[in-house]
Amino acid sequence: MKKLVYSTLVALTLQSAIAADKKIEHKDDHAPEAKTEATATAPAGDGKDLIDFSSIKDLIKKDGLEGELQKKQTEKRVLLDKKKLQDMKRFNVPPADVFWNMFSELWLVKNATLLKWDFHKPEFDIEKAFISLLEAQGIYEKKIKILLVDSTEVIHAALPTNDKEYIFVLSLPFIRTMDLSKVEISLILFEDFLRARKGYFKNYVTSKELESYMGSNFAGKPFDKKLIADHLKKYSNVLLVKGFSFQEQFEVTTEMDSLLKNDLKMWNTYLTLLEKIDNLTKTNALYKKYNQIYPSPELQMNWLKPKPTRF
Amino acid sequence: MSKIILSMMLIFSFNLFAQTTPPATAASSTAMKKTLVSVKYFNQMMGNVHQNASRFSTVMTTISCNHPVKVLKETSTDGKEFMFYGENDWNLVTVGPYDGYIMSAYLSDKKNECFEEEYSKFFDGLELEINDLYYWARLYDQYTQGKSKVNR
Repeated sequence: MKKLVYSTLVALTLQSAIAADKKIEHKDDHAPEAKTEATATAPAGDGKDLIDFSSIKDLIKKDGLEGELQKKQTEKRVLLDKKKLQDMKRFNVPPADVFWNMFSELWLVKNATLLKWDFHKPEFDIEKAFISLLEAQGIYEKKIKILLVDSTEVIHAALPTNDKEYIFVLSLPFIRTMDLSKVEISLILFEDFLRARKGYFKNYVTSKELESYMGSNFAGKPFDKKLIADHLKKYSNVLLVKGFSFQEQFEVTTEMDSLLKNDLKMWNTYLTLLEKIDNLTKTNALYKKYNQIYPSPELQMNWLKPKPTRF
Repeated sequence: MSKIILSMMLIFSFNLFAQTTPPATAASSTAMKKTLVSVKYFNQMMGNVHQNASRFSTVMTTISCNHPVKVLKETSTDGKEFMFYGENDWNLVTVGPYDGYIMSAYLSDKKNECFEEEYSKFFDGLELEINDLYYWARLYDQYTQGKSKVNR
């Protein structure tokens, strides 16, 4: 009995061992099969060899996709050109009519401490009196900016601007010392207005380099700092040292004479004003430089006074 | 005697009333309601927002061209509306965290052509320092301006 049991047990273990071996064999058999499958699908995945593009090209042409692509490309090119142009525009140098106003203000900003214009000043309503004088002379649509300064470095001046806008600098100590009326102040500003309109100041400070620089474009080039600095110095030179010529003063005085002659009261005020300035420059050391900048009140009076006739 | 006492009491009561009732103007000025009117743009190169409607009052902040500002109006409790201040040439505005005043002439309804935007690289090339920008803003406070008009 025992033998029978043993033999059946041996038979069972043998069977299970054979079954396990078969399983291992099956697994080994599958691996090469997978390899062969992989090698078979590989050429199918390499699409380049299989897709015929020439036939698709015809299809794209028929669909108008090529035209669409061209349109998109030109749109992109135009957009890029526009952007490039906009980038280029940022390097524009302002043209003359914009440049001078900005440049005069830049000079005022850079010389704020010398001119002492940042102070609390009373409201004189000078601009109203001056505007009424301009309107009386038939000068319309002119914007004026008056800056009162608390120094005698610049007594009075009109800075270079365009023809629509004028910037005036006027010394408050000068007004107070002379005890000037609004009409007298207006006449001084009017004289400056005529000088600016004739472009004397602008002619002194401009140069060929600056003229060619204005309205140009400096893309790809460095900003010309020296040109700007040199011309700011020229401003200072005209207003603080050199001033205007006798010829220019003569032209301005004779124009004032002809414009004011219609209003005799005004003409007389102008003559009295010149007398006052002449006295001041001869007696007050603080204003001795005035004759150097605006030569000369005495001569101006002589040019104004009617000449005695021979008969 | 009773008449005198009565009249005395009457005068005293009037005085008391006068002392306890604040003037109408003071009451209205304390309770102003601010409402937004419009958004405007600063039209000068640089400028200042002031604490009061005066060019010499304290500067709260400095703004540059095309900076948007909220223009406000004030309404008092008695329904009066205030939009212009000083000599009618200042607006009450909100700029960032500040409520201050800007000259009305320096505000436009639409965006402006600004120098620093139009000629940005040229403006950068000037290499203006903070001091210069401050003075440029002050310049527009200090100018007295006007324009001659066509005679009609």
